[in-house]
Amino acid sequence: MRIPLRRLGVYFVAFLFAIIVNFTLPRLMPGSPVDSMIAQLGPRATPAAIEAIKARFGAVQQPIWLQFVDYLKGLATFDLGVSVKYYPQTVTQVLARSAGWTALLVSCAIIFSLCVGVSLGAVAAWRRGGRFDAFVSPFSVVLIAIPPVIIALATLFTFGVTLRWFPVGYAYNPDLDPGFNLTFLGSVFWHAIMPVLTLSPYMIGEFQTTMRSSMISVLGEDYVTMGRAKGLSETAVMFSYAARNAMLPVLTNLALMLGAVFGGSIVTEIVFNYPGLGLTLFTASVARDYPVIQGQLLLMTLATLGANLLVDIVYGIVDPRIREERA
Amino acid sequence: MLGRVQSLDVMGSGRGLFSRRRFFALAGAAVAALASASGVKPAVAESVLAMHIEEQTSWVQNFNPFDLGGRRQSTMDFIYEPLVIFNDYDSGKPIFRLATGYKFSDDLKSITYTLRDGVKWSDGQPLTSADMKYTLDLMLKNPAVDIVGVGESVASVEAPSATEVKINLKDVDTHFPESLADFPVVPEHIWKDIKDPLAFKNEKPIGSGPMTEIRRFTPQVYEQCRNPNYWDAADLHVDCLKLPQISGNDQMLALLPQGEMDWIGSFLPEIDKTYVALDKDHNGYWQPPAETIAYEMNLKTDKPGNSEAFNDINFRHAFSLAMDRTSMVDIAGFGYPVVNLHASGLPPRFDSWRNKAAEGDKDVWMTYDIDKANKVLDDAGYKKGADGFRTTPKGQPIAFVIIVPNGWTDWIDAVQIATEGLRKIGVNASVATPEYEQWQKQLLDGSFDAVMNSRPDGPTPFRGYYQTLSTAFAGRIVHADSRYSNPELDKVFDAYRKATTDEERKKLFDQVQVIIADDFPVVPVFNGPTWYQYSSKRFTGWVTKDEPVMNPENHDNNRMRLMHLLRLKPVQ
Amino acid sequence: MRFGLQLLFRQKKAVAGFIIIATLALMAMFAPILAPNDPAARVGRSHQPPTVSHYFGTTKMGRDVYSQFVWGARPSLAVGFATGLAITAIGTVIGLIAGYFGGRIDGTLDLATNAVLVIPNIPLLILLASFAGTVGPLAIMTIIALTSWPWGARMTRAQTMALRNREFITAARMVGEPSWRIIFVEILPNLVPLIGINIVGSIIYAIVAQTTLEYLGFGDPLNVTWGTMLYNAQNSSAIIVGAWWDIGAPALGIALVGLGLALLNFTFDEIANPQLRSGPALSRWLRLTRLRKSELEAAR
Repeated sequence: MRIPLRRLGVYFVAFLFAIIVNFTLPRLMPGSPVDSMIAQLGPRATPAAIEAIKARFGAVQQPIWLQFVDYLKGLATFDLGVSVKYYPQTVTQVLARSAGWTALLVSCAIIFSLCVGVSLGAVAAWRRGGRFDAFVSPFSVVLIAIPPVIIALATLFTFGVTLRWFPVGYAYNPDLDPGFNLTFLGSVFWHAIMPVLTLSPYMIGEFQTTMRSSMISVLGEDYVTMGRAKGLSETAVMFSYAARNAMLPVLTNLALMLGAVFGGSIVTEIVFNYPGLGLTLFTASVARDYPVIQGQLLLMTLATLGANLLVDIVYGIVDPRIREERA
Repeated sequence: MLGRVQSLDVMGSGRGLFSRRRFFALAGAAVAALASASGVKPAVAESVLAMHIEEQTSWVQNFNPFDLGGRRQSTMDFIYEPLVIFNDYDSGKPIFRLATGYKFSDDLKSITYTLRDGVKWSDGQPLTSADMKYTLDLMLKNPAVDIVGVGESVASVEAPSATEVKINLKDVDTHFPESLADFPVVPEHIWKDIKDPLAFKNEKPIGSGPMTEIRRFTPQVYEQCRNPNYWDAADLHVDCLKLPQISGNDQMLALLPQGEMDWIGSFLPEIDKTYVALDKDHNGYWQPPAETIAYEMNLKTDKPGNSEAFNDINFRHAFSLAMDRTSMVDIAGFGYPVVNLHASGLPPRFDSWRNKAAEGDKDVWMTYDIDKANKVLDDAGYKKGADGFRTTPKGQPIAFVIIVPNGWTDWIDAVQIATEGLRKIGVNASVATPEYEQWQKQLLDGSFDAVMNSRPDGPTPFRGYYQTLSTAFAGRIVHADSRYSNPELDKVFDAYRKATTDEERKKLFDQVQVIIADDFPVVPVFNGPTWYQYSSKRFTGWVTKDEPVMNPENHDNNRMRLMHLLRLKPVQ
Repeated sequence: MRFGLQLLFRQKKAVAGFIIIATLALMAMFAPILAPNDPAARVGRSHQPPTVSHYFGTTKMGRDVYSQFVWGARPSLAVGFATGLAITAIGTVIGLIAGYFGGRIDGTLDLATNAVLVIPNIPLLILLASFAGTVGPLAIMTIIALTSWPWGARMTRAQTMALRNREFITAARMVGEPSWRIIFVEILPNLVPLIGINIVGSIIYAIVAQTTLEYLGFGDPLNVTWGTMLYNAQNSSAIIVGAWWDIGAPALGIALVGLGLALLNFTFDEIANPQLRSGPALSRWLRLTRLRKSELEAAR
């Protein structure tokens, strides 16, 4: 597998950037974890307890570079500190319990949108100028432009509250015990439908648009013409030559969109009370649980970086030109 | 596993979301077939009470009673039985639980609690005076877990016998048992091995209350079941509490049509429409007025203009006259709060303590009257400048910000109504919505101008007044934000703390009301509601407005919720 | 450029998009005339349905939803457009510099661009917003602008690199024109369609981000914007108590802006990439490819 060193350099810089942002921000901003900690105690806190908490979690008097070294040491051992909101749970614990649900939502939404978006884009490009293209293509752009909040609220109140077709909260029926059985998995599936459908429109729009434009340019390329000339059927040309190559920009786009998808998942999870990272991030930000917010950003950055790396690898496999270059 | 299936069945009767039911119909049938095939007879149905007491986005298993912020709100009372509960709906009369009595020594410098004989922890070990002494010593040694403030009042603790605990006080304080109302006794044999009592999560609690067994705990729901060794088991008819995770009003409202909740402590907008109408025969609510909400000005502010105005009683009177209390209640609060028209700010629930001499004429400042407010300010020499805003008699500008925590939307709305009124009388007031922890920080460090805040009540009205208006507390807790200091009032408070009879206390509290009504340090506006909704579909015995015997709320600040639970019986 | 504008108005979609945006912008501009009442004034009872006196009904606080809708357009559109412009300006300048100078400058800038690009935007926004506490429009603008420029920078860089080696640029360099002049006078005008796409796309992004932040409660709840209207309506459980107008009005506003901009963007995209064009220009393009195909076949 050949991944240009340069790309790895980019990932390294991005990672470094995220670490530095994470380290610097809390030290620049007003408000400290101690304040959040005391706020967390609520109005019933006695003066003695407030003093004790201050003494226990108060400002660290250490040179900044030493703090940075400590911070890096923590990162290396996955020790991201202790949550304020869920004290004494650690940030790693808090994130671990929600990361899976978001991964499930996001990956289902990606797969679903890829199938729908790419097919729509391919067909629109193949029949460009036709009635299908004239409707679907602008509509996709509109899908990108509508904030996920509005889609989520509309979905919740139409299908959840008014029609009551789908459950309005939780990742699975709370009465069930998690386990590898049909009932439980079915419940998980059932509860994921509305959130996934909410996350998808934006991605479908993006995929359709990217696929269409990339397909159009691929259709003009020599090897497609060659394929046609060789007497291959239209469908064969469309799928094995054109669509396959046109997928590449879609994949690049996918990796870069991940940030926006995480953004959408925050709103979606809040609206549907889905116990993923987004809901955790929101709770943490309302409670000013800085360690959790920072850990979250780091995790999401890593996920985006990982996805980009993966795309780079897939690129090498899929693109015949890169394969040929190597041969 | 089978027990689980059965409990699901019990709860499942009348479950909403028909499509989900349809989806599971097959799977459920399969399980049922399996159960009958293996010849297991269904046991007597458990009575599971579904309740909602706190909003969280995920349950975290934490039953540490000393972790005020992190503990599950079902920890007190249900796991850790109180010593004594004072019923504020019954003139603060004590209901003895773990303790059967307490007695002050003749010099009032010590108090001896007698513990109930034969009480056992949920693991079967006896609960003795050693446990109570251990808990008190733990708090004295470790201020971070001193959740009731014993460090301020207790000198030392002794355990003369297995059922007696003698507490030596630093000062005479006949009010001490009340301050121990929120005190949990923890088992020494468990806690003595805990290195850091604040960071301990106590996931499998050993307790003395009715519901100590955590049968099931997931981020989405937990069940807390009957204590096998509960001393008062004869009165306990509920087998399990089930607490589904609910993150906010909206989610609650969306779940209500399923009819699964029994005991709710939520803010439900337009409750007749959103809750009662769903099941008119069973769904009910009673939301009696609770603690007093008031506008509090920072009397020690370092802004000279504001300071001059805030410390002038005429200004405070005009402030009060500019408050459109009715709109605050009807519009901001959906009509749930009740206006407070008494200068003393005494909550309606303490009507038996009311002193008529502190009312009547003294309450003339409590109406909404813009013209009169303008006149008061004109007469006192607050002149209007070119910008339409008044300056102090000394010519200093007045401009202040009333802070409300971001996200407390009904309070933000109420404060907006207040500033509308203040602007009508030429007072330059505005609203700011800092984050809660910033809000709290400003109240504690004294950098704020003015605030709308509540005054948490104890079993008698004394605690609320003492902790918010005595010099001893000024600026030290969030509710003593006005930093009011009045030597005359402090003297009365002091006498009250030393009083030994109810008549004496009553007389002293009459004086407190007069002093407050005359000096008018804060501007009371309304009394917030109690959050209590219930369904009589599965349980009966609910406290209702026809039988107002106790505070019906299930929140963590109401110890009487234990007695409420013991009243409930499953519908046969 | 003229060709572009003509083309723009020959497209029905673009005209529709333009009309939507222009109407909303005019509404915001003439808010004092269209809704003379203070949007923060309480004018009626809670949650009154739409009537002749209150076209869009009232909020929980008894405020006129119509007035709030009209006045709320101002900060919402202003923040959206200003942020979109800021994002585009930063992205274009960085892309131009990187693309034109190449070498080490390009290396550094490209690295920075890619690095910011892979950091998830909205979570970063939430992190920044929660550190900053309640954020006013200006803070929201700054936060969004500083985290969202890389898309534009990348597109601009690629385009600039393609232009750099064209004859007219080489000629300008030979004549000894200063670099800034070449960049801004020779190259920039050729990037206009691209910048157009960039601006519209950035505005869309800014509006989505702003709405998300305000909906989550990071905006100033006392400011009347579409985002805070949504937040306030949501907080008073507007839909569940049946006050659909309270949440519908701001949602409609935001959706309309999105629709208008999307239609414009679609057309811009077609102008910038003639390949993508459907409609009138398509047949010409098809003819060209057919020609190319036959040439290829002939060559074989």
